[in-house]
Amino acid sequence: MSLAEACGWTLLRSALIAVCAVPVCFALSRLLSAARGRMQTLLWAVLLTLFFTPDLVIGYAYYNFSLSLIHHPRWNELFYALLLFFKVLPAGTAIVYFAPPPPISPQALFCRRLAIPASQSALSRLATLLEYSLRGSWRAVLPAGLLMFLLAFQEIDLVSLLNATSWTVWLFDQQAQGLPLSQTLQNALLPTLCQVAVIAMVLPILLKSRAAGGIQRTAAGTARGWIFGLLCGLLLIGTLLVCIVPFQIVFKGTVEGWAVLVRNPRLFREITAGIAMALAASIATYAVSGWLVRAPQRTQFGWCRTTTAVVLSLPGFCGALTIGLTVLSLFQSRFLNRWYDTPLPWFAALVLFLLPRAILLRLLEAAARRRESLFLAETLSRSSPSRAGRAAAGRLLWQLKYRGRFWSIVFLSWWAYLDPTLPSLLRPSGLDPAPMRLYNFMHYGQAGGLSAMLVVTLLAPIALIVALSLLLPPLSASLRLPWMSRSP
Amino acid sequence: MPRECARSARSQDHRLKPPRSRSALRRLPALLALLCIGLLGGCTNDNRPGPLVVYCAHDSLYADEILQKFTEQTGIQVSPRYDTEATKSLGLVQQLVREKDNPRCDVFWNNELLGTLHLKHQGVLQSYRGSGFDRIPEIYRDAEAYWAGFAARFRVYIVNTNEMQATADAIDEAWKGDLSETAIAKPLYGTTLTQYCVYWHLWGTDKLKSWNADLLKRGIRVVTGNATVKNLVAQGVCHWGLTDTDDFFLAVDDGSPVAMVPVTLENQQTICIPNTVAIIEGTQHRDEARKLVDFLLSAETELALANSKSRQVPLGPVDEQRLPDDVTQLLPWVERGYDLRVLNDARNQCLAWLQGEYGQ
Repeated sequence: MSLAEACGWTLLRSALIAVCAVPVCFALSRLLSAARGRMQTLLWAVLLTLFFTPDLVIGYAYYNFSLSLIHHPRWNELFYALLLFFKVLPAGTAIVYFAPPPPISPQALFCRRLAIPASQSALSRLATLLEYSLRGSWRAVLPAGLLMFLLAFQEIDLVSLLNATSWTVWLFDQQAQGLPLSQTLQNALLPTLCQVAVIAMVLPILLKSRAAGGIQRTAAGTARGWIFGLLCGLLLIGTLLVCIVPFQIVFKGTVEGWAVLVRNPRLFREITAGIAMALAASIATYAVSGWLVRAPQRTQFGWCRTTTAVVLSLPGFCGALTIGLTVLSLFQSRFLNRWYDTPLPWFAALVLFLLPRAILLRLLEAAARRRESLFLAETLSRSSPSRAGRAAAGRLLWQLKYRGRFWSIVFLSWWAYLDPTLPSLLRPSGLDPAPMRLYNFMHYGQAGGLSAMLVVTLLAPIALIVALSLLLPPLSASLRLPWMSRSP
Repeated sequence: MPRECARSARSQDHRLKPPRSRSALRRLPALLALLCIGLLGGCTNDNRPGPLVVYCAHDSLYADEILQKFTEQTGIQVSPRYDTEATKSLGLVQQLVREKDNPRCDVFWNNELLGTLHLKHQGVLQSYRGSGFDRIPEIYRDAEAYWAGFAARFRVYIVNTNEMQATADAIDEAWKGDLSETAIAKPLYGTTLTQYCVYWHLWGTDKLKSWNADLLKRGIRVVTGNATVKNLVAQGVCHWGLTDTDDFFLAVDDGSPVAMVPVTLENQQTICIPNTVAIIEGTQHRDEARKLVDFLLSAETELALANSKSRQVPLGPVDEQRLPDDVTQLLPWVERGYDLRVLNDARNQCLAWLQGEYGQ
């Protein structure tokens, strides 16, 4: 298969996934808006679990199943597309849910429809209505669809383990087989152009959307019974396919393979290396994104920051593989060669990879922020005469301000930690992160020892997140962490 | 009126913003700058030597133990860079060629021979004839001592015994019919590439090309690697396939119903693929690198690899009492190994053709 064929196939699959997922995102967003209390928490938990279940786990769990479909490659492609659909669905839903209210209400749209003269042709009527709808209640269609398209188009870890077709695997294989880096980068131009064209459409819309204030969501009506049932069924299938079955397979293997951990102490060093690099890169990226996003329209150099944000985000939108290959070629050049085989190329690539995600998280944070409550909590923390009052204000501040930032950094670190593509291209000698090494082993198939190593590799950062989420709230009352002090 | 309302709302919004902690704001860029300076200044690779850098294409699970033992015995710290299954050992070979003018690696431990031959012809390797060199049979070492082989594996047919008999006759019969139940790894890398290069050398270009076209026509399943071939046959998805002894033994350890038959050439020669070790030209750790090469070519290392899960077969003399039965039965195959040292040209030509055939 040629690059053009692989690229075309990936493009078609990603576009189909995005088109199918957009209406589901809108329905789920309505469901989320209508849900209250525990139901809403449960829905968010399901969506976040779908999104954050590592591709490594899913790919590893379905490795044997995918092999069993070798005589039916189309079914294998379909199965991969289904998994990908459920993986990108939460991202689109979050975009739709957090999108600022449109300037055109459904009522206004209805009035506009009535105002269209009957003499107008059907096609012209449709065009007018589509234009108004895209500026009205369908305002989030484009950003959500395009984000899901990009995520599906760039995917490499899952597709590689499931032996499906994608330009990402094609390109990585060519590079590994000895194609000169310059030629590999030339080959990367076609898929990159596809993505840049898509990004050129999505980024202005996203940047413009944050000009609107906080969310003033009108009360959503309850979904019809059959739609509610359909959505719940869909989420159940997604959870089963993406989380429950894979984790069940991994844990089953773990029971047999614990002994491997004793014989493999190197794993714990590799976990530490992976976490340290992920944390360093995500904190730096979060700080940079804060500077880039912070209210540019109110500052003298606002346009400059917006342009910088767009330019710096472009590589991240093109995916880990393109970034990795580009950074590799840069650090193999004479000018940067002295930092080749150090952690710097990996760190720099991670920052570029994470930046658009960090900007998106900053925008979502800003959209969800309640300024009045925050102001009152800040005032209380300064003016309360009693220690207990200040402590209570500190807890309140954590919930209103710092908790969002903490979780943003957690999400960024999670992505950075589990990415095997960048370290496989850029890691220095002797600094193999655990997820990359395990990803390598996964190509050999399932094994008890590997399952045990995978579980420990995943549990270690989760334990750290839990510990920090318990320790940081009381600490934040008295200690201001530097990266927490700027808000977009 | 609406304008006044908007202005009032904006002013209220401005007032609602709590006063910022300026000191924290000032600290942030300083911290970032420190981080960058630390990374830029502290992490350059100008001040080598540090630990001995070993690029290793052998599985890290097995190689790690060997390298740790070396560190324990000599006190020399080793910093390994392992290959990934996704790049199938070609990744490190390409990297070494790219780094030729500014080498980072001191010792290359390859898990096959052809890549090492390529490196020798590219001028990447340094000659060294140490204590371990002479114990390796001549056919498995370089005449100019640019590299030496140790601990080999073989190309074999892996057969699911629930589906067919594991005999040479059954395999010959199976080759003649429909191949949709047969699996082979993409011959662009690893030991499958070696097998194709042997055929290229033995048969000539045209015969290999028509043979390959015939396999594809008859529906052979071309998959990503030897491990995948092993998994397909072990699960019964395919009836038989071509893989290596190390993958075959993993299937045996898993209790899968498999057996193996050696891949033999016309004169009953086997395809015996040794690990190879070589010192990189331009190394700043010459003495340490030589010690590691001696260590890897020792009987002790060959015994350790023979007793690992991959059951690699010693090439030099070892105490056979200390070998597992699985390995002992493979010892006669070593003597029948095809001479792979002459394959560099065949490798380059065959790879160029395969890259056109399978992708680029």
